[in-house]
Amino acid sequence: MIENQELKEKLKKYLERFNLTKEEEDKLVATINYLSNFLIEECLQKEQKKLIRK
Amino acid sequence: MSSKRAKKVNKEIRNVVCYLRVSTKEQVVEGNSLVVQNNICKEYAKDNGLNIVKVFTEEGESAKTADRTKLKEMMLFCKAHFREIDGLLIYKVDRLSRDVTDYLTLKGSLHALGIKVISISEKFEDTPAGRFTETVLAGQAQFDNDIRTERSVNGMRTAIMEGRYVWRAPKGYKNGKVNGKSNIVIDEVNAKYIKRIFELVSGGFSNLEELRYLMKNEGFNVSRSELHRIVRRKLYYGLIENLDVESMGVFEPIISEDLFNRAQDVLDGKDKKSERKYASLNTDFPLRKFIFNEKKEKVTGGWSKGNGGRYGYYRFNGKGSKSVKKEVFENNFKEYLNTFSLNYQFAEMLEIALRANWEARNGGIGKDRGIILRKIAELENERKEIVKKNLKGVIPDDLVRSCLDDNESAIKDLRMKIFEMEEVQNYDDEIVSQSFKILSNLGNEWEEIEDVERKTSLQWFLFPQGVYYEDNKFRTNELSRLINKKETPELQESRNG
Repeated sequence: MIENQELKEKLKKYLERFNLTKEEEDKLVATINYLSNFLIEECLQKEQKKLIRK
Repeated sequence: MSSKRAKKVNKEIRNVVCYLRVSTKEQVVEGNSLVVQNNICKEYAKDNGLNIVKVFTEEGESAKTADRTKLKEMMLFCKAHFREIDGLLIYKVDRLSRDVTDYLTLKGSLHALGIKVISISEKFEDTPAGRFTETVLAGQAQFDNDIRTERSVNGMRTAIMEGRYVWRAPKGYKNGKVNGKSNIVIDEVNAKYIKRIFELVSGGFSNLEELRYLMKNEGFNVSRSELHRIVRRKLYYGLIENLDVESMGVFEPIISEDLFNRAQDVLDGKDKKSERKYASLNTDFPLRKFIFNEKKEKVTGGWSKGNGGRYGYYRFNGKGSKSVKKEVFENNFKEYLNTFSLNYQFAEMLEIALRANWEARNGGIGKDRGIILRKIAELENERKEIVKKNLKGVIPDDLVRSCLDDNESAIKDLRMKIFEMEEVQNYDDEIVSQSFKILSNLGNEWEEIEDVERKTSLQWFLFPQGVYYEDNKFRTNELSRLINKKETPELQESRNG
């Protein structure tokens, strides 16, 4: 299991090239995290719908 | 107990029900305890030849209200058996009620059923003077209660003035002692998260839903409403506000007043938008209050009836605005959304986040897999043992077959579980590809989302300031950094050309 801290660090490393302030960096990391969780939920919903149709 | 009144009571009253009550606080006061009340009632009944039909015992309930479980049960019982019951036996008037109106109402209802209230420790005749005494006693019970409440409120006010917070500690604090008196002390584990929340908000992080996700990932899980309360709680910089009194606490603040105020400024700028966001939640019209026209009027949605049908439409709040059919408006918005896709600068980051969050959700699987694999190995050894014992003649042939069948079916079930787990774990590739597909067809995907809260949440996430509508076209002033306009073939051509 990847620790959240580890994920955060990984994402921050990618953001280095954008030359952001710490706040902007935190915000972007949170935004990506939010979007990824939103998408996972959406994928699961789709999967559920597929199963119901079956 | 063998008074004149008791003799009179004996003439009229034979069967009684008893009502005993203690509040939580009174349980420690011996004079009022349930055992004492019960014994006194029994003794009184014995002395006066009364027959106790049923005892109703109320524990931990206050007499400030008539909404008490056993009291209601007792009243129902009296109503159902009023022919057999002559009286209600109580130790003291305040056991029945500490509110004059409630007491007189209860007494009136019982009187209508022909049931008399007998208070053992206070004697009142059924005469004008007796009834007056009874009302005074009921008033005394209420007076005692009011005095107690006032003392308690005054005590709390004094505590506030002394800088003490005497209620249940909010997140970030725990109940404890400061200078030897009850107060709140810092809860090191949660206080750092509270501080981080205020730092992030004051730094411009005003989307509380995103903030909630971020904090959850950092290990601080709070509900949406709780987070809304946290960011507005002045207690965190030391101010106690309650019972119309405010005072600076003598406990250690988690944040400075300046940090709190900066966070409020950010929230107040954003709050109007949040209100818009939540007010616009409408299952039929997800775009309500999300789209604006050039006059900054918000779009609203509604249904109209005609030609035997019901038709949905959107229109702007201002005068002279034309209605647009719901289907047309939403379809136009869908097409507008379809012109955006993921900003590929962030594709790699998103993939990492998707995989990590998926793995975090299914974190327990690896551990469970190990346990199941060990169990399979054990069953396989058991299988060998069965065969060996059969060869040595320990287990007869007819029994060995059923043993081996059971063993095989157990192994099969466990292997199936492993297979299912691997499928879930390997689903991360599917999650990534599905997610990228969603982001390349934002409009169509938006249309498919059924949960309106998720739908509007996505809208505000993509367009934090909402969307403008002008000349049948949509445009926006602010876009999430994670998406950008799709490259159209014309754009590609002009770039290449």
